[in-house]
Amino acid sequence: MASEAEQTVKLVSSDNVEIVTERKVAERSMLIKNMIEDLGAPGEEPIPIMNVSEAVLRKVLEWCTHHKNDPAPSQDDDADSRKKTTDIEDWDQKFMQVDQEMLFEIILAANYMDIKALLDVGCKTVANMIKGKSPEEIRKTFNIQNDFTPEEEDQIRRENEWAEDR
Amino acid sequence: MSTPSATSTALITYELLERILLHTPIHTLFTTRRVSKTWLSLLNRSLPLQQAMFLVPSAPAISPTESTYNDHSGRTRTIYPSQPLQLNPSGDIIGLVNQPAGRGHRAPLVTFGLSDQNLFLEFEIEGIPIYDEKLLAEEASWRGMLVTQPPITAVHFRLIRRDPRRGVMTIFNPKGVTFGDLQDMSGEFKRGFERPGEDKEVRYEGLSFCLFHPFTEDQMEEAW
Repeated sequence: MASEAEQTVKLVSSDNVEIVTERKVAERSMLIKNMIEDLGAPGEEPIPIMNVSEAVLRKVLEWCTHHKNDPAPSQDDDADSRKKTTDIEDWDQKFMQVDQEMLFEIILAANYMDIKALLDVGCKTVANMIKGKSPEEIRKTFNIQNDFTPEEEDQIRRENEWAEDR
Repeated sequence: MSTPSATSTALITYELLERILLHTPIHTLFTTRRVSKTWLSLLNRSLPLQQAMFLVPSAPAISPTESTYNDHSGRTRTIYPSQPLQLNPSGDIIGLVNQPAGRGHRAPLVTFGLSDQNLFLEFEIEGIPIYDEKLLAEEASWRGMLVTQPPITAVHFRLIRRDPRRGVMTIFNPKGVTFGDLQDMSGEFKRGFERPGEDKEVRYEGLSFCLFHPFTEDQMEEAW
């Protein structure tokens, strides 16, 4: 039997493409890690990743491969990530230079696959896009409908005008 | 009908939008309320976001153990139990830090300073800004912001005038002192010192209050 380090697992994307990867890489995802533990026999049974397409899954696994030796996330990580830091390490920054749809696909996949560190990098990237933008620019960037009446919007603007133009 | 984009799916998911917004600066949290009803509702309801906006205490309010007024240095000090305090970064959002009142159109409402030797924190109100009406709007949301996290329940004010008269006043708010409390009380305090017929232009050099707090060096850096 292969040692744990050499073990591979088969993942199946939502569009039915089989991807074989190192177990250690795949286990950056807590969803997959728990599934492997439940299944007992890694490598034999393909693991369906139902909500993630091949293109996105490959991108996610690229991130997992680069970060496969990172220390396992601890309980404190959640509190730490709340700190208002938008520092992203260089490799991750380059990794996130994708079109906006792909960026949000990665965020949704990281959320579904329970990869906390990747989810954080994605959220920080979006936060950096939001910083310094007016509400109008944010709506335009993310294609968000302004559903306030002019009166409602005016009221909110008056309350928060002090924070604008920065 | 086309499938919803990943962008819109992610941004209408409260947990994800919350995670994203928690990485943005405090003033962005206030301005992005105007993006849409979904964003407004999240920003008004999420506890972590409300805490990040200094609108809801992150921990129970702390009270001073001791207050003293030091006549020699002219400083009022309020002593708090040793506990890290996070300053509301909006001090320099509301006004420009270290920009003397009257210069530029945004006079500082509150500026923060740290003395390297005594490790105390000084908040200064260099005159209440009346240059920019949008800062002072009755409904302005900064009024509800706590000065520190966790909140502090008491703050001393000191009035400095060009003539020798001085005054001290304490603001007490069991839920935590807010910027609105500071602004309201400083206005009241000023009025209490006014005399009919006096020239209103030049009488007040500033209002200040201090907090004594045994900061570690790391905390000092973070406060900056």
